[in-house]
Amino acid sequence: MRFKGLAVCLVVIFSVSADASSRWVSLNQCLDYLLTDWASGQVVGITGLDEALITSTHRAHFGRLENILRLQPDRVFATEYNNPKLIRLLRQYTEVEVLPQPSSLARYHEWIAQLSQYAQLAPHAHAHKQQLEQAMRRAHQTPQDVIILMPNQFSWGAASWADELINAMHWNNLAAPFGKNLVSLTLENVIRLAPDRYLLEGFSNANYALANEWLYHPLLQQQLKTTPTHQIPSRLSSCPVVFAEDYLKAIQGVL
Amino acid sequence: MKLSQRQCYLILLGIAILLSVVQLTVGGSSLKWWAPNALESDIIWDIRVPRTVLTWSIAIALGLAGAVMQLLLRNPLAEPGITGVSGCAALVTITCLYFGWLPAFSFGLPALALVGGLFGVSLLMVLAGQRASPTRLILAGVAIATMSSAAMGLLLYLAPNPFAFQEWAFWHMGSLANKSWHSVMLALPGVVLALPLVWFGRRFLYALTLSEETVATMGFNVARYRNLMLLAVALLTTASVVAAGVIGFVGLLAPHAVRLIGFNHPKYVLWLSPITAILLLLSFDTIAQLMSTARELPVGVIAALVGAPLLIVLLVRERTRDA
Repeated sequence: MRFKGLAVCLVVIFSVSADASSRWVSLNQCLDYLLTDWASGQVVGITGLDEALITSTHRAHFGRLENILRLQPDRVFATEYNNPKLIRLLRQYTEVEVLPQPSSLARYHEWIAQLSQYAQLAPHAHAHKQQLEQAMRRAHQTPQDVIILMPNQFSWGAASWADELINAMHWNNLAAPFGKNLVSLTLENVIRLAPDRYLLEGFSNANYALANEWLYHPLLQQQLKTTPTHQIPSRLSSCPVVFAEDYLKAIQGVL
Repeated sequence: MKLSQRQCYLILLGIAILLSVVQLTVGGSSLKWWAPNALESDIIWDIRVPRTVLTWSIAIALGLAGAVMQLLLRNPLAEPGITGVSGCAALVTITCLYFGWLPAFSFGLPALALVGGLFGVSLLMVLAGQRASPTRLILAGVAIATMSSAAMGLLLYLAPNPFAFQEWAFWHMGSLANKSWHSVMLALPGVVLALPLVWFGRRFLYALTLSEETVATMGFNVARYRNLMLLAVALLTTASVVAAGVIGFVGLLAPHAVRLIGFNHPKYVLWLSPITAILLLLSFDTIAQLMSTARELPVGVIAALVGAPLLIVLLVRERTRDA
């Protein structure tokens, strides 16, 4: 009996220490944020897209196979939007976990379930889910019509992550009738929709870009001045699922 | 029955007005034109009318620049877009905009871009020479266009801008979408300044069907007139580039369309090209707006789809003539 107990203890200790000493590499900027926050000790490589995350222990690989292999990872975390060729090549050398890129609450739950398979990530994943659910319950507000404006005349349509969060607040996403996920709008569409609230996502105020040109049209600028407008910070808009709670707050304009 | 220049001009003007009405009526939404509400009125006066006015301004600039270049270089393939002059103007515009030297609607922008346009047209003259063969002109143009395009790509990648490659493509394709009266105000000064210059040098351009020696004996200071015409081309090209990016082939198509309807005299080619360019650009932009794509198709794509085959036909014809 005593021997059995000792054996179980040893197995647990070895599995935890083996897990703790495993070397993880992220192939996605959002996973960089997530893994360095939830399992900082395991992460040895990140994309390098956010320079602030690069340290002597979290090295940047810039998506290059050679750099990734040099980090000697036990496991590489990728998303379904990563280059399939790179994933195929990496699978010849190490384990690659391809996570879904949640664009709806249903896929979010799949994402959470997949992350929960890892001992270090499971408690964080459950906490993330709970926090989002609580935030969505708190967020029920007076119904209003909103629209998200993005560079290149894009907006989030029906069945997108932003649309689901907007619906969860009992608000109305005016871009939803234009199609699913990423939809394209003309300047005239936006002017005619006359929302109660504008949400700006992905625009950088500092730099000129043709992609932002429609935002600077005098007629739209006039509307933005007279209508409540909130800018979603670029860090949140680049990873709206990882920073789901803050993204929700940014939509509400309370961040 | 042969039409006079005036009759032809009036007919083309009538068609241009009709096409403008068509262009005004296509758009992102349907409008009550006879009794618009405040919102519709804003859409008409701040989105659709500036777009049509800009189309006219840019078309006049491109058509006139193409005609002046073809007459000046005595070369049917000369055009600001394919000879890299537009690319050089765009290069300076991009540098000023993306490094934050000038705001997007500053009048300093066309002034600085003019330096790029002048550089491009002067470089073309140096590389191709005065009496260059069409092939030599195209080669010189390709060299300048490639250089300016590569420099644009490099600058966009170096600039603090997250959409580098996409921006590079957009600048090359040109677009009339999302333009306002500000864009019209950027384009108009160049056109207004260039028109009197071209008018002043018109007789010189008509005379250039003869040899330069003969033109000189007719009392023209060839170097002075040539420089004035180069300045006019740079002004016109810059006007179109700062407002809408590089829209190629319109300057090539317009003079050829004039010749195609039977007006070969330089006088007709010069003065009918702008109105022909208006017809072309209005048609291209209406097609671009009507085409069902995820985003509005840049007008430069339609212009290139129509213009590039013409360029091939002209090159083949030149080769046949040489043979």
